[in-house]
Amino acid sequence: MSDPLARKRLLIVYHTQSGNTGRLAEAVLEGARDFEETETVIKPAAQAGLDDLLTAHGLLLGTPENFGYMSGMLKDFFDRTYYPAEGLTVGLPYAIFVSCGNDGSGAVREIDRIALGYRWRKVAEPIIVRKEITAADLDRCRQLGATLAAGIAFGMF
Amino acid sequence: MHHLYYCPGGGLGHIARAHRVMAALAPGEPYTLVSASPALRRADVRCGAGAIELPRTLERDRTAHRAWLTRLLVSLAPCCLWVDAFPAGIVGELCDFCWPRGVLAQHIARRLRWDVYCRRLDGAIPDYAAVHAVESLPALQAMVLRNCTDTVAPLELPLAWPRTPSPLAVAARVLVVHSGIPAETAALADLARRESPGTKPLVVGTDTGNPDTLQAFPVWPMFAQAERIYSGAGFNAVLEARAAPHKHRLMAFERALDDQAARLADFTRETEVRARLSTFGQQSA
Repeated sequence: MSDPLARKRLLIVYHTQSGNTGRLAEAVLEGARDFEETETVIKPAAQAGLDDLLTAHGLLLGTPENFGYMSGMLKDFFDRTYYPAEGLTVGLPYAIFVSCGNDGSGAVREIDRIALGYRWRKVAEPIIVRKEITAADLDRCRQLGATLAAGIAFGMF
Repeated sequence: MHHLYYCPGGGLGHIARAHRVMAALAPGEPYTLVSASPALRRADVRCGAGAIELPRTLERDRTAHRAWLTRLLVSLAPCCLWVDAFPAGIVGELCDFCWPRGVLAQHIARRLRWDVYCRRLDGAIPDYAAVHAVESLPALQAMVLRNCTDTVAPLELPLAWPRTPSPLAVAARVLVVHSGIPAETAALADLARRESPGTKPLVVGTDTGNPDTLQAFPVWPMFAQAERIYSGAGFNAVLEARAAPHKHRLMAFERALDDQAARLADFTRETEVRARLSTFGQQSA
């Protein structure tokens, strides 16, 4: 039996190459951890696996945009978990944060397409941070983390 | 050291859970059950415990209910009071309740339809020395319980409990185990017949009006020899199904305060997740 009083779990899966998405992920984590009713787990995409996904009640996905697409490592996470998790994460609330040079919409669009296959539910607008990360961007990321953490704790999604 | 286990719900499930809790937390110590279930009159159901039948007339009168319970606690002076399932009582009779001096009160928490239950309360949930959660609780219920105790801990209950009579000499390939209303038992029996054509399922339950129903308690000693077991998705049924999920077929029934559908959904998902992780876990990590 799993711990019956265990808090609901928010999983942050991200990949960072230059460190920018990593900074966003840290801000998202900070916001989520302000909300103690939810346990927040953060994993680099290469280390996140099926068990992380299947025990999550909410998901935040972070990636740089590479060639108008998500990072290869995040795509690899999807490749490894899609079929094993098929049908078991239906309705999982998720949101996306992206750091990029000039657009970011390609990464968001492709993640959303894959999420549609998993039948996840997008519960917040994506955060796209172009070029330099500002304090306001980090604030938005904190709010995103707090929103997901609070929402899954109270079953709002 | 005498324990009092207060399980005011009318179902047999509360009593089965009481035996399991006592086996886990007070093994070998004497205890008395307080329940509204008529099944408490059966010696096999009491399993050696003392029994006090909660008068049905108290259900509609919280004040009388509180007074009755206070008198009971003062006169029996148990070393520990265990409050099953309903932290503020089944009709709110424990709201703002002050435990008599010397009574250590502990709560056994199982999943509740909190949105329905909270409408029965007209005061605060009493403080508990400890809360033991025997299954996953909805977030709101867990939060509320954390506020009425300093100690909240999960409690894994045993499938078997001591002081059990020898297993019945009746063995059946297909069992229907249910203590709900006859229509629910009939639905389970129909399902059993559909899924095992040509087999006559053995129905074990509390329906005294049906000569085909075997009255037996506890039922779990019969499970080892059964190939398929059909039951509702009550707390005990799901606990028993966890030991051999491939044998059990559960059906959720509507209950005022027990969310069987949510329990069944959790159990189904948990079983499937375990199977997937065992198949794919290594390659996906």
